[in-house]
Amino acid sequence: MTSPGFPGQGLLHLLLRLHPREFRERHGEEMRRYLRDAWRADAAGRGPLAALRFWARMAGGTVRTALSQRLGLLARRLRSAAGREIAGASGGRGDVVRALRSLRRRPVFGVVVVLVLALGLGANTAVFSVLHAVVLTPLPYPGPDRIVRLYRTDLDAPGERNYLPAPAFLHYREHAGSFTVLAAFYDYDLQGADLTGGDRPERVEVVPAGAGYFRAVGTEPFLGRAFRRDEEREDARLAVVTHDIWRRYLEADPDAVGGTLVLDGVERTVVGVLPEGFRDPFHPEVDVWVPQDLVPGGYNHWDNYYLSAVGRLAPGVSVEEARAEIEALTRRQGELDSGAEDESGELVPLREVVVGEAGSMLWLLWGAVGLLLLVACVNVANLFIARALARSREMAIRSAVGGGRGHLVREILTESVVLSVVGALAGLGVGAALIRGLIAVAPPGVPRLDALGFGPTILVYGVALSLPAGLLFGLAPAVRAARIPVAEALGSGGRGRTEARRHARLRSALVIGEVAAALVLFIGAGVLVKSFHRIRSAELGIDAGGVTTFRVHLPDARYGEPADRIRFHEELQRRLEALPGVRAAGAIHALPVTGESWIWGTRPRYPDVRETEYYGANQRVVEGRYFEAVGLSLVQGRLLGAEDGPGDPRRVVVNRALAGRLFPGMSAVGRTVRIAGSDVRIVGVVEDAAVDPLGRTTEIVYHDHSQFGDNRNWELHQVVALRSGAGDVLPAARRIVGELDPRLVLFGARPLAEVVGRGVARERFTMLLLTAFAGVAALLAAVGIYGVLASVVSRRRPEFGVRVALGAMGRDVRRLVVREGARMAGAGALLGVPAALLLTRLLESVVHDVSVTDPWVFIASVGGMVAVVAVASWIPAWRATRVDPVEAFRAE
Amino acid sequence: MSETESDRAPEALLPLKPLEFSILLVLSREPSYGYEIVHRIEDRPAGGIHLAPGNLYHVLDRMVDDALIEEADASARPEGADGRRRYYAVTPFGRRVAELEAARLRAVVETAESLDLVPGAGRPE
Repeated sequence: MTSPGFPGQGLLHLLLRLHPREFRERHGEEMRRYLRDAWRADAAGRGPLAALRFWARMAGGTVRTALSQRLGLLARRLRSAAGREIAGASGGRGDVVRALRSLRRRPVFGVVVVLVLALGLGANTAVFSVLHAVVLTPLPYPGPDRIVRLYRTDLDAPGERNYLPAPAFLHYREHAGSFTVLAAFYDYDLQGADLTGGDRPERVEVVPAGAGYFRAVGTEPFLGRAFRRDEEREDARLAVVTHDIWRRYLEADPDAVGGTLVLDGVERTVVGVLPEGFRDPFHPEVDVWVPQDLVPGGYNHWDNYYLSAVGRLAPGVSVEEARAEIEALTRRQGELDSGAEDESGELVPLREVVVGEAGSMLWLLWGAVGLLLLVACVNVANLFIARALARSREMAIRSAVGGGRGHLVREILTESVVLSVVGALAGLGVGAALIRGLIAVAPPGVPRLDALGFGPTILVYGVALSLPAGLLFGLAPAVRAARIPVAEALGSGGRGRTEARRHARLRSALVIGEVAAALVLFIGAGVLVKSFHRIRSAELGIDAGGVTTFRVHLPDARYGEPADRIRFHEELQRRLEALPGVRAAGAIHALPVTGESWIWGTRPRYPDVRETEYYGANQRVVEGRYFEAVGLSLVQGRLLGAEDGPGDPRRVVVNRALAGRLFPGMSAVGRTVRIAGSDVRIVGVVEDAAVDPLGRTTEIVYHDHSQFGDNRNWELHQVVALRSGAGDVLPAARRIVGELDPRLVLFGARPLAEVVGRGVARERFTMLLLTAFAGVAALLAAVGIYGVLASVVSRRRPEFGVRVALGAMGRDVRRLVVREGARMAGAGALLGVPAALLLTRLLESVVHDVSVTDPWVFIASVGGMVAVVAVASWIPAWRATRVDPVEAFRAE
Repeated sequence: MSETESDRAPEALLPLKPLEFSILLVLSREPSYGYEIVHRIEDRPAGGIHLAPGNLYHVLDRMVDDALIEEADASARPEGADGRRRYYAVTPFGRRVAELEAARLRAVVETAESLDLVPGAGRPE
């Protein structure tokens, strides 16, 4: 029965099919009604995310229950089949029963196969699910491939994307015909705002956006409207809000349009409410949009690169065509502004903007986990071959008494399929658990993880991966074992000597492949570990230990006067400094190691430099004892202090890099530079602090907030260094902020070490995962080697017995076995090293300051693999020395 | 239709699984059908219903086998019941088992109160 408005009929059918037939026939209709009722109540009309969550919940529960029911059914059939004769059973059901009985006789074999498969499949499924959610799933916006972000670039540095000046954006908007809509927005330095209206202020994310923004990203308010062009002004006190804010602050009132919200003490009229489930593609956490000021003049001039822009391509226009038009327009802008002739424009598709570098990391991890699965499958194939050989006598007897070869092959295949199905289901369970783990440890900045779940696509992927594997690794041993001549199988020792040797060669070849694959993972992990170590050892120029940071935003409505802001920050610093346990307290508007920003023209003022000489230097506003708090040492002159007040001549401190660049070979102290239209004197030079976790430095100018606070409302990160053993300073800091102004919010508290660490979180995540895969692969390879050597010892027992009887020492016998292991390891290394030389090139985008073919990493990895092989060889080698010659002859 | 009386002692079924106990509580008010049972148990959590249908009906089958509940015939259904749905009702045996389970849980809570692990009724926290 088709129910209008209920998507997922096919999926519903699939889920119900997982249950045993009897259960389906009894409860199928009820379960259909149940799902439709639950869908209507929990997911209908709530967007794709709600739908995905709904189906993930239902699928997960169904798989668990269906598995339990089927296993119970199997167990019941097994019990009833125990009373039937083998010869009387026929057909597929008989094969399954016999396969299960056979496995029950050797449970360790079955358990090991299922475990190995579960590990390989589970890891693969988990990584694929992340890849699917982040990279493969289409973006949840209409026509996502038509949405592009517009950047400015420098012709001398085309790879570096920059913000746009407002006049440039307005020029594009007026003249570009390649877009149906082009809109501006601001995210250069998002500060958020305090939203009041509840019991206490709530910190919300705010993005200023121009007219057409929502249309560009494919949405429209379902209540009210978006901003108009005539509202792109600073005095437009308007807001568009998310569905969540509408529900919580406007009581989900259908007449909420025209109502007000108070943001940072400023009343704003709500003009639009966005649909439920919409998330901004660039800033998924944003709650409120306000109009972006685009009125020419003020800071909207050609030299101020601060705007972002998004556009929706016109029908039939390709990205390349639009890009060409933007480049042409930029050249025309060069005629309007002297600075633009060295610049160009760049269009980046939305997918690339959102996914970013996470995509390459995930593809890399998926390839690595694919290698791991290969190792797991080879391991299982080895186990099957060994088992097939061990059963060759049984097969021969059954063949001799009339059981057909085809029947025997089918039975072995059935066993492999049953195990692969169970392994697949177990792998799905492992995958579901690993997905939760991956979400928990994923680095910040990996987009779209909220869409991660165990949906139908992942289920299908897991099953599709496992079933062919099951047939594959069961087929070869099945065919080979059934081919053993009866006489040979029943002959001396019943071992089928010739065939056993062929099996041993095949198994050795498989293990060599395992070792090679594991070695590739080892080497890849080794390269990442070395790269990460280099990153962590990079000299950052600061001491982040024991330093806490947090922010306090001063709303313009109550702190519009620079004197009020300056007074607040000075008092806050004074009180923080006075707290017990505080070594030094200061503040800065952009923390170190968080990238370059606020790059302004910094022109030295001395006679032999042309006035037009332009240096772009990072500007930083500091307060209090910031330099002492982060351990930045003074090189020359003095630091900023109490003598640099609002009424005093403007003074700054610069870093060593800037001093060396602007004043090479001379002291920078006492020199003058021109910044933001004012001449400032350099009073001191400090050491360089890195701008990124790799230790890169750049030119920096430090202004005192007491003197520069009139430039704008700088939101300062408070930086508090604690003495060793001091407790948490945040409760006291909150109290101080509350005493100074109870309406202020202290937010964003993080240790400085974590701020620094966030910059390398992606590298750490990739390294940890690859290391884990390499470790598991090495373990599996070790198990493979152990298995082969154990069967070698078993096969050569008579030979060892003869050697011992003739006087061979234990170490001679051990050497024989270990040499066999070393031969496999050596062959694996001969394959693995060249493969690694090729494949590690894929790591070039994620390593820093390390060669992907670093010889020491290769040597250490091969050494590590040798150690693994040695350990795996030890037990069989030791067992070989315990062969009793008499027992060996008797068995022969 | 299963038997309404079991040849097992009610105590043999204790302790009940939480889901089974919850189902008995819901059905002791009036007969109900699958989704409605779960809806009343979960009381509309923020994330939606969490119980998959296969899970629910698997448990219902087991409870029918244990004679705790039975399919309600037309006369036992509540007024306005949807004739297409399968309604379940608690059996006298099932009601007895639910009573014993409730008494068992109360004894557990009383023990916890005596050990000051939970605030008792009427005692300030």
